[in-house]
Amino acid sequence: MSFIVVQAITGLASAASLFLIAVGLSIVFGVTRVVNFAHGSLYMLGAYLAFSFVAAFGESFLGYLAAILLAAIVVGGVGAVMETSLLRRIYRAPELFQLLATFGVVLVVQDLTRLIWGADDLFAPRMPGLDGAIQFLGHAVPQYDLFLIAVAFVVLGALWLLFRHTRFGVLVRAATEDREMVAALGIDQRWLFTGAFILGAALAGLGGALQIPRQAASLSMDLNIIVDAFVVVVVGGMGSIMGAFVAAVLISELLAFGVVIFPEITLVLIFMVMAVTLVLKPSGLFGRPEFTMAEDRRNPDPPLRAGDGLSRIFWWFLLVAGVAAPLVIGDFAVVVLTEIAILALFAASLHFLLWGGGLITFGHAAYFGLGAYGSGLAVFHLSLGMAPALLLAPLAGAAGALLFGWFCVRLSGIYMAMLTLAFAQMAWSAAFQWVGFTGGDNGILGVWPSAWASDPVVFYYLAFVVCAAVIWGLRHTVFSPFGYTLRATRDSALRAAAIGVDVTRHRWLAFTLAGAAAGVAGGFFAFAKGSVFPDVLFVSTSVDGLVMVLLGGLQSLAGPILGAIVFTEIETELTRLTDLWQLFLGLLIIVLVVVLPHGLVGLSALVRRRSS
Amino acid sequence: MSVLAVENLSKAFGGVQAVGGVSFAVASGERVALIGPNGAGKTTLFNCINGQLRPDGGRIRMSGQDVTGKTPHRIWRHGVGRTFQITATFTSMTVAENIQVALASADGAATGLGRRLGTRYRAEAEALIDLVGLASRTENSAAELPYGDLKRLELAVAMTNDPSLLLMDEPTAGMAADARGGMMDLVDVMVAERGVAVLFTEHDMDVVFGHADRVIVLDRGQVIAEGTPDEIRADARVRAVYLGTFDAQEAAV
Repeated sequence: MSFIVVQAITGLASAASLFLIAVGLSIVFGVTRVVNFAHGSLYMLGAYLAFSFVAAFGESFLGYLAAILLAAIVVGGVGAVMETSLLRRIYRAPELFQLLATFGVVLVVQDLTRLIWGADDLFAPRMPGLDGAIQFLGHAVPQYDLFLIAVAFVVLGALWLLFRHTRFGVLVRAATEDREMVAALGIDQRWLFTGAFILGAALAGLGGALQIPRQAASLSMDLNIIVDAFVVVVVGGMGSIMGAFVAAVLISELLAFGVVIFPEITLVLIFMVMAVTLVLKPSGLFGRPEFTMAEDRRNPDPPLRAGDGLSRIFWWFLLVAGVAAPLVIGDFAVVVLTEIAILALFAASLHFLLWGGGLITFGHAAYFGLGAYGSGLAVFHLSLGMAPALLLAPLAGAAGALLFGWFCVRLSGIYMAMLTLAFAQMAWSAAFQWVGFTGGDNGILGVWPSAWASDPVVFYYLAFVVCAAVIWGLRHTVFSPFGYTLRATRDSALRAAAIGVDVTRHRWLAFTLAGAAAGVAGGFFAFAKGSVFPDVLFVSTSVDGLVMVLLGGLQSLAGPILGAIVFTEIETELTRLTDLWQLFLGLLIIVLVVVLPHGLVGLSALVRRRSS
Repeated sequence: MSVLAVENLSKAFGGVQAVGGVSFAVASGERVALIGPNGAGKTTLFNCINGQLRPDGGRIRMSGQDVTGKTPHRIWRHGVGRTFQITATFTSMTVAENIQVALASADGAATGLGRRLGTRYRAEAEALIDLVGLASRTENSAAELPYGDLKRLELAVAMTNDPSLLLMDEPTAGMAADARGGMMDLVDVMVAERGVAVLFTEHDMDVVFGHADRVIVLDRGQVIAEGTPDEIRADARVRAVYLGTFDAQEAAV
């Protein structure tokens, strides 16, 4: 009995910081309708700043407390800069662009943090006065845990007072419920948005600062916490403070007890809580159904013309160049070219969902990674040869997409993006944690091509032919009745249902198809690298894919191919020159979203228009 | 047998009984208008019939088959074509493609991965385009059509499964007054040539009295009157509900 109470207290202590970050995310979303990916970065920044402040003046209890509060305030200031310089420019952009731009900030903040504080984990001293434990029925409960729980309740109470009894709070609630109405009342929205963002950022900073006596400040804490926070707000309901609180407690307690009872399946438990919630109540426990403007496409795509002059030339040029290139370039370039062929397929399968179906996925790495692991594990555990292992790759990708997709296609817009991301991160954690099966962080080594394909040029041709064939297949699908119907569900789900299309099922099928295609790419990726690491499933892989699609141009079938080529070339060259690749990539993403939303293809159209 | 039979249908939102025990039927080839003041329950009733809302009680039968609580795409399989108050079309496709996609769905080919859509169902699509008078727009993108043409396109799309019932939510909403008659004449052509029955809601009383065989009047979730346009015009309760609007209409006629 006493053990249960102690474990419950541990769970509540974790819930405290999870609540602080999730509620900030939720408030910002409620007012601005932007899911701020960089919210985890603000949390991380809070931890690092608190570390430095504690080092400067944190010897006493009050000094330590001041260090934590100052960190939160400074992070609030960083939030103000971020809102006024970037977010303000993307409030009207599509959800995908908002997520991507704020992910760009994640990358920039990560590299800057590494530059300032170094790459090593930083351990702060415990908080003076709260560094002991109290005895409770024979178990030791850290005093600091109780302090954290108290802070969470104080913040919850303060937020309640703020939202009930201040003009600012009432406006935030009003904006969360009906934005147009608040605008129509002549409220200065800019002030409101900035204010809400500062509040959310400061809460994230506070959450991070409060963590340092419990865990080291590290460069991975931003993405770790943001995925948990996504799960919390999706379960609790976006924009709901109570929802964030209840869901944070629910998830944290589940983890606290899950770790003790069945440590292997904690992830599965969270997965199930999220899945059950979303199936029963898609808007979350305390959320209200989101009114989406999905039917309103202000910039409709032009009708698709198969193979007009210019695009036909482009495709033939690619084919010829792909076949001829190994004859003229060196060995290293062949390796890069192989990667380009593989990533082009990955990007094309993502584009198929994004553009072809309007399905916003932020976790496409899951299917790419499952393909890679499918092949890698087949070689490692079953000693299969390359050919059968490669055949398993699309099956693994499709199976994952079939399972995850069933849930994802029931949501739309930002909810779908967050759920796809959460699933992909779960796959990543599973690969990371299940050391006995996947090798964990050490990966699977020795995934080499069969003898007949061991020459890089031969392997390149194999990858090129298969990837090109699958890309062609995806392109054909876009023009088939399946592809047209998929685009129909994107243009107007209402109309599609009214002509007898089972919209959910159709999207699910598309998801699975794209998963299989991404799986093929993943399988080849495993053999190209000779190994599989959890990274292939990580969010950065998903984002790489999104950047390729965006770089090339979302509205063109050739876009993802062009994007994969340019992206891989830039990455290859830049990572040789500098270790600030993330900083560069982050800035590139922000520039793409803010300045060049139609990508390189759009750029050429822009230039053509200017010159004519 | 009636194409549509609604039996004792009810639907509440929280404590508000939007539709309370409504029954009526639509016969084959009949044009029925559903009217009533704002908040009368027209839209709720309509959305129950087309499958977007699940009724709390009562039955909906289409050609004798129980379709209560079925989703919109299944209702369509029972031979129902739909148009919306605010047109819903596929804006990234041409007029012809909008109809071809619908024809592919009617043909059970929506998930087909084989031959390109290209020219498939093209002849049928062109026949429908001719019927609604959009022949000169065949290759235009739906996104560039004027609103009246979009309404026509929607009607053509709604006819692709050769429906026995057309459900039209405010078929002339958003159209210029002089274009409304033309739209409804087109609907009359569908009724005459294809034998389809029409259930529509409408605010424009000229349209209602000029193009309905029968009128059903809803108020506060109940049917308060039902009959020919002449009977409805003379009905005292309807006058009471529509007081003002109605007199003005008659004065204008």
